[in-house]
Amino acid sequence: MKKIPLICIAVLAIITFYACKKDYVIGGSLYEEKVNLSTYDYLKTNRLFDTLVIMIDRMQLKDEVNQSGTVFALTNYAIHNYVVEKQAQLRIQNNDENLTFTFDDIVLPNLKDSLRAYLFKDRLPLSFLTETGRFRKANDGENRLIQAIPTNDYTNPNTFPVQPRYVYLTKIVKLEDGTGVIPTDSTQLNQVDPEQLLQARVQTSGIITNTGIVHVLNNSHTFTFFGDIKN
Amino acid sequence: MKRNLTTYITALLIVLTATTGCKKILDLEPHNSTFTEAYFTNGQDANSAISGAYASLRRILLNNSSWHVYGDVPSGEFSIRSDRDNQNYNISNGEFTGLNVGSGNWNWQSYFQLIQQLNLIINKVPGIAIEKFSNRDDKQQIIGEAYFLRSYIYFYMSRVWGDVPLKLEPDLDINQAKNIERSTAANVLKQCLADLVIAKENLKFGYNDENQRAVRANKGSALALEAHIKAWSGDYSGAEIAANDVITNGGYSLLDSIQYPKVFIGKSLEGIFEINISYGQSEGISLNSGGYAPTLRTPYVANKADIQWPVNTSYINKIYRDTSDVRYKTFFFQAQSSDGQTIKFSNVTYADGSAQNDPRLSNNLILFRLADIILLRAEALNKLNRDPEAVVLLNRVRKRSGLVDYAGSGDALGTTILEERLRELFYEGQSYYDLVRTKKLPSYNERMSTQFMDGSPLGGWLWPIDPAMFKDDYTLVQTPYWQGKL
Repeated sequence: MKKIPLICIAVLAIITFYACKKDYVIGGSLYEEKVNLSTYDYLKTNRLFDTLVIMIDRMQLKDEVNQSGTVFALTNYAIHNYVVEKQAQLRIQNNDENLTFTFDDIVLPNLKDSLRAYLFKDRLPLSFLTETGRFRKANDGENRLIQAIPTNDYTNPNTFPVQPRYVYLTKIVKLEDGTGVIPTDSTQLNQVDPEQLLQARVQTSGIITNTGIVHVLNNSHTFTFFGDIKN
Repeated sequence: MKRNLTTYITALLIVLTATTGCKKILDLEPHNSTFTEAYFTNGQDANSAISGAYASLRRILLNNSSWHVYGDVPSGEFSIRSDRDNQNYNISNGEFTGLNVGSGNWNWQSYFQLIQQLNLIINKVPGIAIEKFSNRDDKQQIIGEAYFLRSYIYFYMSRVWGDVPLKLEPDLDINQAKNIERSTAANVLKQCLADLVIAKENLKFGYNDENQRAVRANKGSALALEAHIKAWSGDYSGAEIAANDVITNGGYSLLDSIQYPKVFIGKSLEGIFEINISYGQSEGISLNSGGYAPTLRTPYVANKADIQWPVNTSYINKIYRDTSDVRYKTFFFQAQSSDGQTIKFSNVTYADGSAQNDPRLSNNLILFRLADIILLRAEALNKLNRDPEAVVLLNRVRKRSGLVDYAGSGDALGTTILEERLRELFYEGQSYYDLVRTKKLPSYNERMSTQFMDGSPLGGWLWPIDPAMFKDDYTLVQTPYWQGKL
């Protein structure tokens, strides 16, 4: 008689020790910021960058991407937004509301420098960035401001008293009336009017590949900052 | 035996407590009867009652941003982001189906709390002896304001829902409150005008206390409302007369283009009727707790990364063709970008100082102002075929914004006046009603064209009412367009 509870305990113990053994992570993986691939190969693994990879291939920028310390990656949406804006612009210019403009109509070699404006020589991890921003020359020769701005927009300030910082790729443009200083080095940044800053937030920052760092721009960004039509 | 005794004593105690203990509470008079008989006895009571009414109006207009949701969102001024504010995205696109928009926006219960308060004031304050007012002018003033506010809120409701229940007597005993049917919009507007006649008799032009400027109603506010009601009901000759009275006798003046942004902080010489929102008076809007500034982001609200209601760039480019317009620079920030901000109301102070984590908005809500009434009169004159007079008024407003004088007539002038209103009153809760009144809504927001039905009372430009209200009220009927659609 007395053996029954003992057996029960034994069974329970076995269940307890063995039950959790299975891998409960279904679909997805644990967070790992390092990927053991080159930047280009990493972009190829994620379908979100299909269009970007096509562009890189046709513009023959594969080597340059892999030599860049930091790549601001455009998702398919960001390139689609450009196509939509471009179509709207062409419709107005040609006064033809039925005009269609698709990705295939883009003359990709002409936009090579536009894509190179998203590539930087230096490694620019979040820890290196500040709220005022680091002023860096992109591979096409244009200057960009790379900022890390804290906000509570996506977190509850009661739970997280320290505001998380988000990376921004910022283009500095002239004001609409043509005035405004376009700085050539970081000492001129204090002369910039806030209205001159076109900011694009990064949705995933600090993916470390074997060749550099990838920051992924948010889906509502528009390639070449074309969301600002007069830019 | 001992056990029986204890049980007996306990039972006796329970019975005694039950029969005697509660007597006092049950004998008390109901709170509301005490309220009406004991409350309205002196001037101070009347003053706090009217302040309560203003507070309730503020709550109604700010709740769910309804002032802008009714007056601006459906006009097409904004390209609302569906991922950040799906509810108002649906409203702006004519994709409102009832289920995709929270019911808070189409429930009028809080409006009737205000109406009950106003009916009480109208019912009780005339009975308070004049000696009980420390300032004897107050009595007339308060009665006038109550009639004005009742007229205002019914007009407001009628523009949103069309037919609304007209309740003109207070419920002194809540048990005898009756459900009443929706009166036709025409009857509601008639009642609004009747209330305004009494309001105008009791109110005066100008302000003795500068602190009350525009945030307490005066005769100018009443006339401005009269002009709006008459224009809305198509009586342009009446609207023209009332507007003219405001312009010539009200003592208001347009601020120059440099002072212009001060109009939107409030209590300026241009303000005719405003809702007080001032951090300095502890009445700012806390953007962290309940407040909503959907048209702003950083740098106007520090640390706010997202903008929910970016401006609709094509709408902006359609109406502000001349970008040297002072208003284009004063109202917008990066208007050509996909994050274009409307910075008209962006007077933000931080309660925690330089840490900038507790933003408070400190801009009055502008309900009527002089430029609005000048353009309304111009619209009326144009409709009455008095174009030369209309052009003078139109150019008064254009001049302030640095635009060249306009010299057209007829329908072209009508369109210019409408667009001048759209430019001047962008994000001031007026554009939608302007487009409905002039029946031009589909040309500016084509997504509303099918349900607009040329402004017919059967059209879907009127809002449905919250089905939850039918639960307690069997006399209520849904707005025609929405019957069977929700």
